Parts: sequence; structure tokens; C-alpha cells
Amino acid sequence: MGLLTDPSAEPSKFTKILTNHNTKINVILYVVGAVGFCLLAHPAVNYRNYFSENALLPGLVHSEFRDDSSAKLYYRELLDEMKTYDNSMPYPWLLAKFRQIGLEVYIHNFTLNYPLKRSQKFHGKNVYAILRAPRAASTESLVLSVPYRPPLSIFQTTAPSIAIMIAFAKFAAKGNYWSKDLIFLITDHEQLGAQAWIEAYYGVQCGKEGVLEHGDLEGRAGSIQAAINLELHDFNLRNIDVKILGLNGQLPNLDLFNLANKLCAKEKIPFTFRGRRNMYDYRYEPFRYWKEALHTMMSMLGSQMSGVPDGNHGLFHRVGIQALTLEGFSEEKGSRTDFLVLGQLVEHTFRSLNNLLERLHQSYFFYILSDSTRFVSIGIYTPVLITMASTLILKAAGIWFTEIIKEYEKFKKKEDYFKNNKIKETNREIYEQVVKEQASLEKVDYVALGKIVLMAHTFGLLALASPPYLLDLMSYLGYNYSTETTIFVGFAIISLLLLFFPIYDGSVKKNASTMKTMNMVISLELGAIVICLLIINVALGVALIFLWVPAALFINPTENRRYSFLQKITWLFVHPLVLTTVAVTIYVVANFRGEEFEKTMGRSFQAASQAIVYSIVDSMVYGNWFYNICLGVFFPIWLLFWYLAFADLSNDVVEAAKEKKNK
Amino acid sequence: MKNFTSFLLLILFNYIQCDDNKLVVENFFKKGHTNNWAVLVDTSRFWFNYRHIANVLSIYHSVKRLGIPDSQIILMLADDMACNPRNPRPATVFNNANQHINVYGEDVEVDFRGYEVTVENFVRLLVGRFPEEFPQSKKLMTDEGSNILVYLTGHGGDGFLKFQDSEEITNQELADAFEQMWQKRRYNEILFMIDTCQAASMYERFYSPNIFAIASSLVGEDSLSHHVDSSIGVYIIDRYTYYVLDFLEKIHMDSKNTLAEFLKICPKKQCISTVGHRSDLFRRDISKVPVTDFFGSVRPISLLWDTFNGTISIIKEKKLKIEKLKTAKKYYYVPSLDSF
Repeated sequence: MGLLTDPSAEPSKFTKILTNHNTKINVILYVVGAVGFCLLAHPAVNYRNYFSENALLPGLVHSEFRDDSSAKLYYRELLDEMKTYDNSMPYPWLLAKFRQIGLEVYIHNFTLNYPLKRSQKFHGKNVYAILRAPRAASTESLVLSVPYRPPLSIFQTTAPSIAIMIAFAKFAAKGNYWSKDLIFLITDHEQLGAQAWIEAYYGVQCGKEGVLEHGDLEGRAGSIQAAINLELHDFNLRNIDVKILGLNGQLPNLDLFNLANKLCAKEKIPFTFRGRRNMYDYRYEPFRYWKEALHTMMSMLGSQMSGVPDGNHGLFHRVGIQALTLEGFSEEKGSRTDFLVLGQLVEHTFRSLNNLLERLHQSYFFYILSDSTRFVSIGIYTPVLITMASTLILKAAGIWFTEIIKEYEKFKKKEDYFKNNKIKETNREIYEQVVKEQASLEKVDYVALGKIVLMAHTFGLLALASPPYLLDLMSYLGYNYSTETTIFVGFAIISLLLLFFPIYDGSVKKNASTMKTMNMVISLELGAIVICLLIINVALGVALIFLWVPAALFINPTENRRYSFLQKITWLFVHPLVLTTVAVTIYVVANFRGEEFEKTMGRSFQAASQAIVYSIVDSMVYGNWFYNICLGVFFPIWLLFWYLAFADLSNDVVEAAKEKKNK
Repeated sequence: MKNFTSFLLLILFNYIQCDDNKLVVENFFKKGHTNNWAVLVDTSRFWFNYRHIANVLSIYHSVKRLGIPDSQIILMLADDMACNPRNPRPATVFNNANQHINVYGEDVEVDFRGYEVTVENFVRLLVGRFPEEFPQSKKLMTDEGSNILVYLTGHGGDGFLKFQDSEEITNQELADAFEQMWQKRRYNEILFMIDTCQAASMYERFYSPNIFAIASSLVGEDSLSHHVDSSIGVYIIDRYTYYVLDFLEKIHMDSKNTLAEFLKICPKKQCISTVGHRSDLFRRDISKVPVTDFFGSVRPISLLWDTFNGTISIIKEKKLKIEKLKTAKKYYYVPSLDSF
């Protein structure tokens, strides 16, 4: 201490308040922030959705789509064709239909080298057709995509969407008003096909080199301005749910969401977000409304957190294309929709997007939806969340200023002592030497601290890179467990071994000043990361704020053994692997109620291990950084706090040295 | 007797005819101006601003119908809606959902189009500072006897009017341009009309004489569109301009409708915005100024003296009388400096 500060300067009132009431201030800030966060769902705080982009002219044009009879015909034909292709696409039929309409049709081949098992390959084929804008240069385009789902797929069918797409293509081919090319894309293997197609379109590799071989495209249109993904499971729909969550928590421009919302309203199709629609009027039932809105918000954040897109649209976001998915759920009786209405919805959407002059950029990119018609903007949620996250920074500041005040007090004591006792110069020298010796014992051991921080981060990076080696090791040892089990158990063993990390270097743990500095450094690190995450992927930031920030505030080196034990238990509970398992278990229990305990546990173990493998594969194929940040950043910080929880102050080195000297 | 009666009738007829001639000639010379010009400007581009193009083209057709020739109309269009690929009716621009009139049909002379419509070109046009080699047909060749109709439409704010998507003219710049025109004797009177949001802010700073200004909305108000053409899918015309056209439709070259009546167009009920005007710079009584002074044109009449053999003296007398009738309140030019 005292490197950048003058120890003789009297600390200000502010620093005194900050140090004396640090815990109180932090608790108050955190609680105020948490209450503020819950209030974000209230209509007094958030806004009603509104259009910012003038060029969209949503729904002004009169619908001209009347060809529901051919949509029906396509649907029947497709169902017949699908019977002969259990697990692949009816390519000849699709190609023929697009050719009949008069469009350019292409097949796009791609290959996935499964990253966790060498020599395992998957092949896929996308089909896409391009309708050239008749009176414009092919400089811009729009995408209408549908993921093809064969009869054996575990997901709900999308055959009606394909029928509507082809019927719309037939209709659009006659239009003379297209200012952009229209691309009709049918993807194979869900998101994999969409990812490969986007990579091939732009000639980029988003994931790990050599994992997804995206191949090349034979035909291209202009730069893609927007994309709409259809997942209509039926033509008699109960409601249309709009999915917007993209890769790494990216969201489409709010104007695109508003467009879908407005056009569904125009066609009188019930519109939901995350399957929910707030049925309460906040003027009459404010509490119920607020509860529902908060639930919607949390539901959105919960899914956004992992950064996994909830539809093909989510992969377009990374290349700057605004995209969303319209998912329609079927209803047997009393549905208001049919092929005509759905065709008109698609027509309206594309006529409106056709009016765009530049990519959607006017409205919000960062928002939390509290309802299908209201949103919380980044300007409102950031201050609230930063209030909560700032407690970590204040904790660090508190530690720093405590040291400074101590320094000052020592200095003052010394001066007073000299003044009062009028000690001779020679004695004074001796005294100062004693003080210096004591100070050297209290000195922060920066080298040891640096070593610990570096080691923790190295362990994190090693764990991050470990999965392929774990699998190799397993096959080398001759065991034949599944990939999921291997990796889950491997991670569990790594975690268990690293629980013994605090054994390293016992003397540092006993040095109070070093431990205090460490507390300060890692609190700052976590604080900075949380605040950065709030801007990149707010959902992940919110999760950290609610799970890690209070726990990290709780961990302080202490002499009280019971308190120390409580800290260790708390921190163990927020271990990334524990959190993943607990979250998955809760999900499983909620979804499979009334099962035997053993069966549920087995299921949750399986689900948790699968979740981990999926996140690894996602990071390698799509470039999702959730897994990387969990192991590369969160895990080291976890280790450092774990180390801190083992700080041993009961037997302070300074005291020990003093005692030694006294003897 | 029969002869006498017919003689009397002839005299009477002659007298009436003379009186009629007298009136026509009187009216002709009463007009303070000798020629009419129109500057019609659309300052905004992009498909969703279709209505602004339709506004300007509609006014263009109206003034042309009322007699201002193409050579005296300067038409500025910042975008080409007719050829926009989004237009489902290529090569047309309509100003009404019924699609009766294609205002971009035959006989449209656009003087400045696309990116030529800039603040610089507009101001140069007004003050007449184009280079020598600039085409004569694109210049505003007005003189001290010219009445000019200036019609602007586009997107405006408090104190400015946006040109294209990149620049704007402020109300002060516009006022200075008009002052320069006055000093250079480039006009007799100006009717300034503007249809934008907060339009009234544009005439606030005017300080040159003989300008009458009308704006579609006051400061703080938006000017709104009138209706949508759902087959083209755009807002097709603005409210104020729509009602102006409605009014002008009933006007013909000899109509006596005055500016005072013109001001009553589009009450707040119809326009939603409040139509504003500024008459303090204008020296004539607006209830006596016919709208055709600006929307119409002085028709070039040549008096053929030799056919009038017997009555020529009367006309000459009347002409002398008329010269004294000039309105007293108008501003006049002082002799220019080079006459020293």
C-alpha cells in the first residue's frame, strides 16, 4: 500500500462511510437493484412496442394471395411423397415443384465431422430456390426458410410450412414489385443445415476449423436483408408463437418482432411470445398482470442464457441478418386460420420487408420482452442490473480503502508517539527499524498471489480443452462408455481434484494482507465480467448476478470457523457443474412428475451429461461461447474464490512473528 | 324608324363592347405582375415517401392547367417513384387511391431530379447564381414583374426542411435567399406554400417584402397523410395538398376566388394539423387577390390596335386613366446604382 496514495493524507468522509458501512451499503444496493429488476415488468417502467422504421409500411398493401387451393394440393402431394422417404427429404419432388414455378433451384451439400469422435461423419443436403427480382439488380435478398422434418424426426412436422412456402413462391413469381431477390430455403438436419448454408453463402467458418464443412453454393442472390423461418405444424392454428432468441443470446431488431406482431394481428391470428400472452389488463388487475409479465421476462432470460438459438433464425443474427421464427401450433376445432390466411401472412410479411431500404437498424437490438406487446429497453434494465453488480466493485473498494485508512492511522500513531515522548534521534531510528520489520511481515506477497491467479486460469483453460483427451483416454483404457458419460464423469473428477487446489502453498493462506488483496482482485474480476456480460448477453449476466454475486459477496476471509464452513458450502453449491446438474434436475422433475426417484435421477444424470456434450458440440460447430466462458472464465474465478474461502486467519503470521519476537 | 332603332342598337352595342374591352384591359394592367413562375420542390426520396412526389406532381399539373407554361415551371423531384422496382404499376405515379389520373404520365418536364435536388441547387436556383453554361430551361429567369409560386414538400422539423437524406435547409437560409431575390429584383410577389411537419417554422424568419406564406402545420404539429392506396401499398398523398387540389380543381383561368378563400382550405377537422399563414409582409388585401395571380399565369395578350379603327381614341383615353389607378401601398424599386 501507499504506492499511489499518500499515507499522510486524511481519508475523506466518503471513504470512511464506504469502509465502515461496506456490508450495509452492498446489501442495500443489491436489494434495491433486485426490487428494481422485478419492477421492470411493470408497465410504468417499460414501453409499448412501436415501429421505428418508416420504410416497412406494415400491412398497407392489399393482399393478393388467393391460391390456397394449390397450397392444399402441395400439402397432400408432400405428405404422399414423405411416406417414401423415412429419414431424408423428397428431393426430386421439391426440385420439380420449384422448377415448375420457374425458379432457379440448387442443392447444397455439407458435411459434419463429429468433433468428439473422429471418423464419424454426417452428410446433409439443403434445397434452395431463388426468385430474381424482375425490375431490380440482384443486390439484395430476403430469405424464407423452413427446416425439413422427415417422418422419423422427433420434432413436430413442418410439412404445412413447406406447402405454404411453395404456394407463396408460385404466387410471388408473378409479382412485378419485388425489389429484392427471394430465397426459399429448405434446410436439412435442423440448425446444422441452416448454419452450413449461411457459412457457405458468406464463405466463412464460425465454429472450429474442419468440423462443419459447409461446401459451396452454386447460386447466390444479393446481400440478405432479413430472414423469416416458418415452423407451422398445421394449417389450422391455435396461435403463432414468435421465437427470437439467437446464437449467444443475440436478438433480432425489435422492428422485425413488431412487424410479425402487427401482421398477425391484421390476419387476426392469436400471437404469443414464449407461448404466453398476458390476458390481464394492468389497469384493473395490476398485480396479476405484473406477475405474468415477470414470468414472461424470466422465461425469456432463462432460455437466452445458454446462447442456444430456439430456431433456425438464430443463426442468421451473427452475420447481421435480422431473423425470427414463426411457429404455429395446431388446433383441431375452432381455428381461425387456413392456408389462405397463412399465405396472406407470409405475403404481407414479405411485401413489407420488400419495402426496406437498408437493413433493419432503427429499433432496439437489446431488450427484454415482458409481454408480446411490451418491452424493457437496455437503457432501463442496465442501470438496475449494474446497481446489483456494482456491489462487487464496492466490496473491492471497501477493502482497498480499509487498508489506506489503516496506513494513515499507523502513520498518525507513530507521529503522535514521537511528539508525546520526544524520543531522541538515535532511538527513533531503532524504532523505525522495528516498525519496518513488522511491515515487511504484513507486506502483500504479490508473486504468490500472481501464481495462484495464473494457476487457476490455467486449470480452467486445461479443463476447457480436455474433452477430446478424456475421450481418447477412455478408449485407450479400453472402457466403452458413451461420450456423454465419459465427459460428465471426467469433468466431475477434474472438479473433485481441483477441490484440493487450496492445499497449495499454506503460508500464503495465512497472510492476511495477501488474502485481502486477493479478495479485492477477484471481486473486481468477477464484477468486471458480470458488467461486460450484461452488454453481450444480458441473460447470462442476470444469472450471474442472481447466483454468483451474492455468494461472492458472502465470501470473506474470517477467523470464525463456523462462518468459514458456511462460506465453503455456499460456494460449493454454485460450482458450474453443480448448478448445471441442479438446473437440469429441476427441469426433469418439473417435466416428468410422478416418476420414481431412481428413474428421475437417472434421467436427470443423462440429461445433464447430454446438456454438457451439446454445449461442447455447439461451441465447436456454431461458435457458441457458453461452454468456453463457463470453463475458461467462470471456473477459474470459482477456483479463486474457493481458495479464498480457505484463508486461514486464525493463526496470523504477523501475530506469530510478534509472539516470536516477544519471547 | 326601323333604321333609327337599329342605329341606336348599334351605338348601344358598340358602347357595351367598348365597356367590355375597357374592363379586360383594365384588369390586365391592374395586375402588378407581368409574368408567372412556379418552383415546385419535392425534397425527400425513398419509396415510403411516395406521397411527396405525388403532392408535387399534382400541384404541377394544377398550375399547368391554369396556364403557367412548362418553360416557367421549375420542377424538382428527389426520387423516381415511377421506376422504383417496388411500384406494382411501373411508370406511373398516382395521387389518389382511385387511380384516375397518372400524374407522371405524358407531358411532365422534370428540371432537377434525383441527387440533383440539393440545398445548393435550390438556393442557386432562387437567387439565379448558376454558371453561364447551365441550361436556360433549368434557370429561374424571373424579373421584377414576376409572381412566383414556391411549393415545397418533404420532411421538416422546427426550423429546417430535410433534403434527400443527407442535408437540410434552415428557415434563415431560405429567408436570406428570398431577400437576395428581392434585392436582385427577381420577383414582384411570392406565394410560399409548404407541406411538411412543423411547416410554419420555415416562414418565421422571412423579412423580404411581398411574400405571402402558407404552411400546412404550425410549429409542434405534424402534417399527416390523407389516405393509403392499398394496391400500391403506400400513403399516396398528404392531407393539406389533397384539399388544396380539391380547391384548385374548381378553379379555372378566369375564376375570381381569392387568397382569403384559399386560406380557408383544410380546417383542423380535415387536416388534423392547423394551416398557418403569414401576411404581414404582403402588401395587398388578400380578400381581393385572386389565387390565379399565383397559380395561374398572365396570358400574353397583344392588343391589335388597327382593327379598332373607330374606337381607338376611347381606349387611349381609358389607358391614361388606368395609369393613375395603380395601388399606392405597394413597394417599388429604387433606381439602381448604375444610373448615376
